[in-house]
Amino acid sequence: MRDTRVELKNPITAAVLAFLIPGAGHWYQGRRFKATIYSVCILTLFVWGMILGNWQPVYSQLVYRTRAESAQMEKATPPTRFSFGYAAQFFSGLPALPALVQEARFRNEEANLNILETEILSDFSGIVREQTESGESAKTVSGQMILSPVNAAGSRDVTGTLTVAADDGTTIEYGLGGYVELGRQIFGSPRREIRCGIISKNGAELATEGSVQGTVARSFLNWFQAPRDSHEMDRLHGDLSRKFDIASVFTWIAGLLNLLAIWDAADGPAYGYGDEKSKPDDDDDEEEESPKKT
Amino acid sequence: MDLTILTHAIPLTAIICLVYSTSRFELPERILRSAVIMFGKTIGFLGLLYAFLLYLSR
Repeated sequence: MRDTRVELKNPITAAVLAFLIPGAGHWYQGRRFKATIYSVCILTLFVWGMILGNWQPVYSQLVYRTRAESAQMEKATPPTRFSFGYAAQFFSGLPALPALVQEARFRNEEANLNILETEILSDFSGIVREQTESGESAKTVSGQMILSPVNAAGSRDVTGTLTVAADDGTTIEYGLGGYVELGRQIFGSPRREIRCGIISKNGAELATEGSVQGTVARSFLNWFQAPRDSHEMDRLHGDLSRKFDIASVFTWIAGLLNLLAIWDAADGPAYGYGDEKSKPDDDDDEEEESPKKT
Repeated sequence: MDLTILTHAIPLTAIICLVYSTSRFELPERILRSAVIMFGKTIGFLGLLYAFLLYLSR
């Protein structure tokens, strides 16, 4: 039986609020001290995990490897499996719910990998391939890419430039053209894959074929908490090492702790008010213990 | 052992103890006392475990 001194108001409303924003259910019930502890502790832990993990520990679906080189380049929606970590993260409430929105966007996206609709102005990292007399040469580059569709409404034909720094300190400007291939718009990686042709180098037309293959920036709203593949997970583990695992665990724990808060909002404190006469064989923390709720 | 990674355990333990105790009781003093005791016990246990593992790895 609940302690009558604890005013729960409408427990269902309080539980829903506690789920959506940690501490909000208790604030609604007028239990401000507990609301502050839940809110500060749980949200701090969740945000701390997000910062440690470069804002990428939360995702609801892991995309299977597909026949394409990368799941980003798969036109049909690739098969996915549920991320069990999300079962815990989910209970953090609103901070983790964008993952479900991104999952729906990912599933419903009609991926058109061969159309560039708007101009790309982004940093680029990847590989430049050129045909030379001695065969194909490939070198890793990073630089600035400007790429536009030939038709303003969007087209497969593109035009633009890629400016990179050469080994000797000079700048090389590649003229880009031909057909473009782009990674899916919604995907859980801040980098979007891209491929297109090279038509000139420092203003001189290339006598043979060339191409660039690499990644450009993807907008935050298109990658945040979106489904990703094992390539992206490998990259994250490579960049962040154990920090990514710790970040994931923090977000899991934040969700699980909020379960305690939801329960408290719906049913009151588990042991009692806190001033009950103690029993020697009860509770877990000290000699002065509390009985179950009366 | 990477101590930078290990130090994350201290505030994490504090948060877990505080939230757990908050879900057990209603009185602020009781919550804080319970959380402090639980934190001390947990950190003490982790410290002993760390010392034992450090001893084994020497």
